Amino acid sequence: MLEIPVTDNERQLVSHCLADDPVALQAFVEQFQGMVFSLCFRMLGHRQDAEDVTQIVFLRALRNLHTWDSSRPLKPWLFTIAANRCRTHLVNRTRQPRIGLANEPPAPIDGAPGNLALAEELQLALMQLPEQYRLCFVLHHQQELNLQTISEILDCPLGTIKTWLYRARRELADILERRGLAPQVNHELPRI
Amino acid sequence: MNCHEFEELLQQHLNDGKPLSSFELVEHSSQCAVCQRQTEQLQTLVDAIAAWQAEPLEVHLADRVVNLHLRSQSVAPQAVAGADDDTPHLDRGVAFTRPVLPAGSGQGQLQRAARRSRRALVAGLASLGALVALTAFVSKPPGRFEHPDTSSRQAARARSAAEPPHVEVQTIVRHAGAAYWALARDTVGELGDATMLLPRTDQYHATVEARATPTAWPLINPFEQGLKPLRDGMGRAFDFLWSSEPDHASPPS
Repeated sequence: MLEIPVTDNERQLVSHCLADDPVALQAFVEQFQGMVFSLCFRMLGHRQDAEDVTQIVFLRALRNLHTWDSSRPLKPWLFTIAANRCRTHLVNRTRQPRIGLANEPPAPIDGAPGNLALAEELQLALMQLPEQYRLCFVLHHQQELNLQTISEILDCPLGTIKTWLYRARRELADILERRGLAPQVNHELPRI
Repeated sequence: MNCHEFEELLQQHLNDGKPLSSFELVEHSSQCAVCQRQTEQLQTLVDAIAAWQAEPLEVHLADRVVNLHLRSQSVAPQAVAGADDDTPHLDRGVAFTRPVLPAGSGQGQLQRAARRSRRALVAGLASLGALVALTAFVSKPPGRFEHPDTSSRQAARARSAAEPPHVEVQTIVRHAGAAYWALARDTVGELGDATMLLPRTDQYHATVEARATPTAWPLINPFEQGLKPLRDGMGRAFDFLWSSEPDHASPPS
């Protein structure tokens, strides 16, 4: 997993953003919008919601950019804001009634699934996890952050993060197996 | 290698990318079906993660965010907008205080006037309610706060409504008069010519009706004028009877 260094480019970019330079602001958003949106989409499971939350994340980040500690990397700082906004959005979503069709589980898959189906199955299974397990899993396996960084982002002890990740993997593996996504043949074990 | 070590190796590999020793894993999984099944499950998950691609952002977010940010910066200065709960590394030493408008500003005066009028309205409504409650408590209109009717009360009320009190008194007096009349008639029959002492029936009824009519009450005193001859005659008749028949111990009922 990646150790995130603080680059001079980030510091320069932030200093220009603090001067309200439109070009720098645009560059800042374009540099990080992909990873923030990806995290929001994995957390919320809904594209429009993820776009809205991404926009809110960047507005908040730009508004509070003067509070960023320049000795620490920028990416975890942004992920912290995004994670908090996703949690807030999920809480608000549970309070509001959802209009639409009932969430019926899709039919189990017959045969060998392709990569796209496998990714969709993983996303569906991910939405069944508790929020903190999901956040840990996405930050680690999609954003490729190490456990220490995740524990700083989520403000939790390292042991808690390990436990959450272990449980997330176990539950996801169980869900995928229940959905009929068993390994097709005996893998050579060290392939993991 | 036992199952615990096997699982720990797998988790370390998944957490930190620690390389796996294939020989040890194959050796243990060939002996332990549980661990083999678990490894296969995790392998499926790892394959799914590998197939998991980043979702592309389809809207052009940067322009919108920059415009919104610059607009908000022109409306609210940066120093005021610093108290977000979910933004890390915040200086939390500054407590949030309600912005105070200058005393001479028109907006402040309008706000204060609106606040004063709201307070006056609330105070007026409260005093009006208190006055109504006090009036209702003091006056307490009759029948408004009575206990609910029980069965005996209802029966008495129905009886009195069907038969007013003066009618009942009238009936009693009439019955008594009839009894006196019958007794007097029998007595007069014994006495012979004493009927002149008795009042006439129409005169008796007239007195009773006059008593039952409140408007005639101050003008007529029926007991004094109408029944006095009867009482005198009856007294004389009884005196005569007791004196002629000394065996009677008590008057007839």
